[in-house]
Amino acid sequence: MEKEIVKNPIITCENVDIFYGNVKAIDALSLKVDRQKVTTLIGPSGCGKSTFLRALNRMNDFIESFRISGRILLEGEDIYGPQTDPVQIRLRVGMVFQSPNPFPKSIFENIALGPRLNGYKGDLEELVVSSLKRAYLWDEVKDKLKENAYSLSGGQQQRLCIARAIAMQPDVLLMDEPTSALDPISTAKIEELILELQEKYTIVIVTHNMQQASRIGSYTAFFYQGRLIEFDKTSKIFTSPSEKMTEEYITGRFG
Amino acid sequence: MRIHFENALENLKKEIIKLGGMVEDNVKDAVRSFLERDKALAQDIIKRDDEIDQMEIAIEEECLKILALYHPVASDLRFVIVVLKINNDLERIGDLAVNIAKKSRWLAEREQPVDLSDVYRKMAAKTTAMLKEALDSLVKRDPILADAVIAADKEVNKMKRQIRKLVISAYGSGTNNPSEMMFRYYAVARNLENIADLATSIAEEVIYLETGKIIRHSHLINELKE
Ligand SMILES: Nc1ncnc2c1ncn2[C@@H]1O[C@H](COP(=O)(O)OP(=O)(O)OP(=O)(O)O)[C@@H](O)[C@H]1O
Ligand SMILES: [Mg+2]
Repeated sequence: MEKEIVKNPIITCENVDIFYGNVKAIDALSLKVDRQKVTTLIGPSGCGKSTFLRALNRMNDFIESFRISGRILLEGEDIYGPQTDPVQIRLRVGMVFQSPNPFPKSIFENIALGPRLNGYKGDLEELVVSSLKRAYLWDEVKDKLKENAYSLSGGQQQRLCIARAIAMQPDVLLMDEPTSALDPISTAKIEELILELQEKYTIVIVTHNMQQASRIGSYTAFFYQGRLIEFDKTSKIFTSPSEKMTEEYITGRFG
Repeated sequence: MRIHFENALENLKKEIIKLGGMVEDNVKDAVRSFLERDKALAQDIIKRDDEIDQMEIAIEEECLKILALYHPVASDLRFVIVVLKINNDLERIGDLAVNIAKKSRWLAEREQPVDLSDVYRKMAAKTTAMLKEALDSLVKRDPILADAVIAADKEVNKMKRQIRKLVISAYGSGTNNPSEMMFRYYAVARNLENIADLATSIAEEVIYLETGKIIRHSHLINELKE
């Protein structure tokens, strides 16, 4: 089914199966993620979007019953290979979660902590400033870097989490419904930010908002019951999807 | 939400089909006014075109409303876009019917020095059949029927060329006002040809609606059949 539409993949998944105990959550998935593009993952609740997303940076390793087979290659390197250090993978593939989860520390520390713990050699202050600027948060927080991150609004906290992820200088950013807890204005700001960030980073994002998927995606993958039903350019998916099931899902006729 | 949306789409479909029927009637009557040299009928068509224009505007507004309110995607999106385009095609066909009617009015007042009604009747029959089938293909969402309409366009073009030759040879040699007469008489054939072109474009839009493929300016039809 997959056409050669991804020309320059940074991640290549080959025949990936994922189990939680005996339950198969992802079934024979093959998918390529294009470099410096936004790939949106859509599908009904429980279809395996988050499972797949977390598999891309080995976040599932923390789940006892989790098992994976097949290969996920990051720049050609098997991220589940015996030689691979999951911590290194998580540095290269960052993650932003559904509800903003800043540390209960100052705005400055939220950004500086990770790089410092990882032995960042450069100028920390500069890194904090550039990360906040890149997340379009700088103007709003530059006078209160010492204040607790919880003093920020929800939308600002989410952009702080994105700044925090960026500060680790990843290649790929994973986002799991990053705006589902935000108001429309904060959502619009994050969407703008995501579109800007693809200049430097590859982004894979799960969303339940079809309009969001179509606004920000370059590619869209539709999942259903653990299977990848259709993967194509976002414009193709939202004007003339090839699969009837995709059509029914995105037009709201599902079920 | 889906229910309101579906009602809106259903309503839009009814409206565009209604407009199609009005335009079809005007084309048929325009042809009749020409063939039967019926001035009163020609006059009537010109008047009826106002309704078509108003309806076109109403349909366009409805499409814009649906786009803004429901953000349709996939086949729903294609349907609204196709209605927008067909709406525009139909309005232009309505104008062409008016053009024919105006020529009929002018020609009816003058003595007809030559009678080509047989060829014109054939060309008009083919053109109106194309328009009818194009609209049927929309109603039935039938790309095969649409395909037949597209194929018929060539024949209409051929008929127009034939009429051109006949008109030139009939009027070429010195009646009292040959060029004026020739121009208007032949223009009816050109208007019919333009109507056939627009029927073809309606058919192409139906194929896009059903398959998601844009076949305008291309020869994908055969590929499609496979
Ligand atoms: N930690 C877990 N242990 C066992 N089963 C799990 C676990 N996490 C997810 N699952 C199961 O795996 C399947 C896929 O879940 P997943 O969370 O990936 O879906 P999702 O597409 O992200 O859904 P949603 O849109 O609701 O977030 C579901 O059947 C779910 O119950
Ligand atoms: Mg999820």
